[in-house]
Amino acid sequence: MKQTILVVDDERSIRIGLKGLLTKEGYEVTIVENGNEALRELARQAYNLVLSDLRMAGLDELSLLKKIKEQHPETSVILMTAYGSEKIAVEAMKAGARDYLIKPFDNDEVKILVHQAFEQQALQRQVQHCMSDSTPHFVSKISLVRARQCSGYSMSSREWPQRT
Amino acid sequence: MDAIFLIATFAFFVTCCIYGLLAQLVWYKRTKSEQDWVFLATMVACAYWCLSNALASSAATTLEKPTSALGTFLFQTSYPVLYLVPSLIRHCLVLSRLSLHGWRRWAHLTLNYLGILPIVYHLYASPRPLPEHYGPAFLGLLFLYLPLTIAEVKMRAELRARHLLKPESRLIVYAGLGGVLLMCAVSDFFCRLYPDKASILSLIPKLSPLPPALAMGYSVLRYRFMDMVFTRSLLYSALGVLFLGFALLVAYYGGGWLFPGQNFRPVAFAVRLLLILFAFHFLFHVLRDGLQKSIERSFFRHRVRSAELLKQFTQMLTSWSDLEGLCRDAVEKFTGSLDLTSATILFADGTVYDHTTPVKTHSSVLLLLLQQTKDPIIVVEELLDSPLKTACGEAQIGVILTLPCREQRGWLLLGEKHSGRPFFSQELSLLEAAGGQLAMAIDNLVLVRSKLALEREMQHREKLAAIGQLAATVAHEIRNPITGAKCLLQQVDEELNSNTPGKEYVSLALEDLNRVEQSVSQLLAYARKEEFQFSDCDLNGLVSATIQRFSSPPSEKRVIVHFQEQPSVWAVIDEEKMRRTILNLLINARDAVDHDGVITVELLATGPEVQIRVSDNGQGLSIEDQNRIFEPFFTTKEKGTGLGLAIAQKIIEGHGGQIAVASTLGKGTTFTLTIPRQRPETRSAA
Repeated sequence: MKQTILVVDDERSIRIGLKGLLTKEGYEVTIVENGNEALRELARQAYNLVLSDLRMAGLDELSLLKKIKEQHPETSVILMTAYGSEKIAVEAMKAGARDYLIKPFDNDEVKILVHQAFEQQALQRQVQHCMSDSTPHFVSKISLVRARQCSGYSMSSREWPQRT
Repeated sequence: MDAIFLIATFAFFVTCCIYGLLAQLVWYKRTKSEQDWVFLATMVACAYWCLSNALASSAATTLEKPTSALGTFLFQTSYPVLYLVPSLIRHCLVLSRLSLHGWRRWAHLTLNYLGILPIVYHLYASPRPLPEHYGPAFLGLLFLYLPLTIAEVKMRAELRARHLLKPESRLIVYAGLGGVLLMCAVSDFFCRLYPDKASILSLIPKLSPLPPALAMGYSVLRYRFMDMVFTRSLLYSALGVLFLGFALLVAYYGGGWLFPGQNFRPVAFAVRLLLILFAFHFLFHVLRDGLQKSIERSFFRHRVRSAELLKQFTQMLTSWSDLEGLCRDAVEKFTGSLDLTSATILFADGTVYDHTTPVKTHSSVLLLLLQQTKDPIIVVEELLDSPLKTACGEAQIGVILTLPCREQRGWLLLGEKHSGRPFFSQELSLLEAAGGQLAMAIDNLVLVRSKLALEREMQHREKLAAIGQLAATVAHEIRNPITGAKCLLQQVDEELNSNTPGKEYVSLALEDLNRVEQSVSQLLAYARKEEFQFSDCDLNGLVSATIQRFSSPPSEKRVIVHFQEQPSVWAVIDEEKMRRTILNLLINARDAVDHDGVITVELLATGPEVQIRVSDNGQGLSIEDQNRIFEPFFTTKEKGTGLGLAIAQKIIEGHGGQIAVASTLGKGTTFTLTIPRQRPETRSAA
């Protein structure tokens, strides 16, 4: 079963570009152009990942993210922003965003982030499965998963992109 | 004949004296109004009338010998009335017109013109031809007096419009006319009293121009110049001379002295006594006022000089817009006006503005002593033996004047006079007044300077805010389409084979998009409020690493970077921002040099500050470019946003440091970063 991605952006070229890029990567991509449409789409169908612009008409900066996290906590959200400021990024991460992309981004950067997001989702599912199984056999596996989570991609170890 | 000529000469002399004084006064006041020539010319005209009529009257009395008593009276009064004609015309035109209205005015005019009747009779009865009598008079009247009077009418109308002329001027007219009538009556009285001396006494009315002249003079002075002291003095002296002349004439030609023996006549005695008393009364006033005037004049001379100095000083104070120029000019004025050996302005922070060169360095001891003083003005000679007196003696200071500036205290240190004389109290008062003004001017300049700085800062902030707002909009509006375009182009780029011709176009388009993105990012970086993360950093290592990073992708230009490594130079800085700044300067230097250029980086640790110099041997910058080089959006490059150095300046100022440029056209440019070793807030707290 293909992973599903919802792309939310008011810029048509971005929507089309990301759909083409991610479809080619083997994902099932749906595109909408604002936050309200995104919420309606999410209510209709569950998505594994939402790639959303931070500032769009219709909803406040982080309200879409907060609503997604309330209604669909299992869905990962990657925010895209044209304002390259640390402050907004930190707020987004605190509100539950998986990661962020500063526009304009490279296609490779998008591919990596999306791939990492799905990988983490897979790991989380494994952890939950192991926890529910609760046999001593999986204790070592849980430790291993947690260790990978900690040593994986994280904000602190990532160098901030410098654009000067 | 001798007596006649004596009296005529006397009348002429007295009249000329009066008009001479008036003319002198007008001349003295000549700078005040362009209309003063009217007064001066009027005086000259009147003097001419007096001279011509005095001589004509004398000649007529001698030659014509009227027979009847009425004829004698009319003959005698015709010339004085003739004297009065211009005055009457003038009064009628000028004063009546301005002061009287309705039937009063016409009654006044009629009364005045009745005075012409004796002239008509004289013309009728006199055996002499007309031109012989009145030729000079009418010529003068026609060509001199009338035009001038008309000019004066106009001018006085203007003055009245400005409320400078007051209605009581008609009193002056009545006084003048009354004086004439009185003199005629007195003359007639004495002629009847002493019939044998009638030919002599009848000459008294020849002096009749005097009262109207005096009245006119008073009028002119009172309403034009307002110099009451001088006017009163002038009036009294004229009256004194007049009455003394009467007394002498009566005493000498009127027969007998005060006590004429058996022929004692009480009325004649009373009249003579009265005349002499009047003469003495007025002469006493002349003496008193003269003395008072001379004292006042000497007193005023000093006050006028002081006022003139203060005026010049005030003009000088208001003409400067920079503190140094003001202080230097002020000490020059003090030195020049008081003829001093030196003058210095010393401020509490040790700044010295000295007129003499080279600049003297006042010891800190003197500064400390001055800070303990409380008197606004100190004359060193009057001080008791004290450390201050010793210090002032060594520095050759005569007077210390405290400048009560608001920001910081200052002192005006004046040397001694070249003449060696002490300072007078009036000079000290003048100094105190001038010092107060100087302090105000300094305060004003400081205020103006801080206001200008504040305005510049506000403008800069407003500009930044506008750029920030613009940048936010631009970022959103430009970055979004760039993102889409880039995303699509990258996909096309991947799809195309390397041999496909279109691939090169796509690559070029992507490069352009990247450049646009860089510009937007720079704009955002400039507009954004920088948040610094200070930490201890070895600048030597930082500079070396930055140079390495700068050189690692080999550039098209062959550029050599010289850097003399130092032992560790530690400073508290935002490492990343400092690296960006140095890298920016290196890139600029590389852009400025030709092939085989040389860039020299120096790191200098000087006390609490560190300097980083980046020099190149490029084409250099003009003075105009140097002045604008840190302005946002100013660039000398073909492809530059003009924000790199503006951001660099922002970063260095955020460190509490400074960035400076020095350049020579054709030789190269040096950028110097001066940053404190400690963090800005720590430094200010310390």
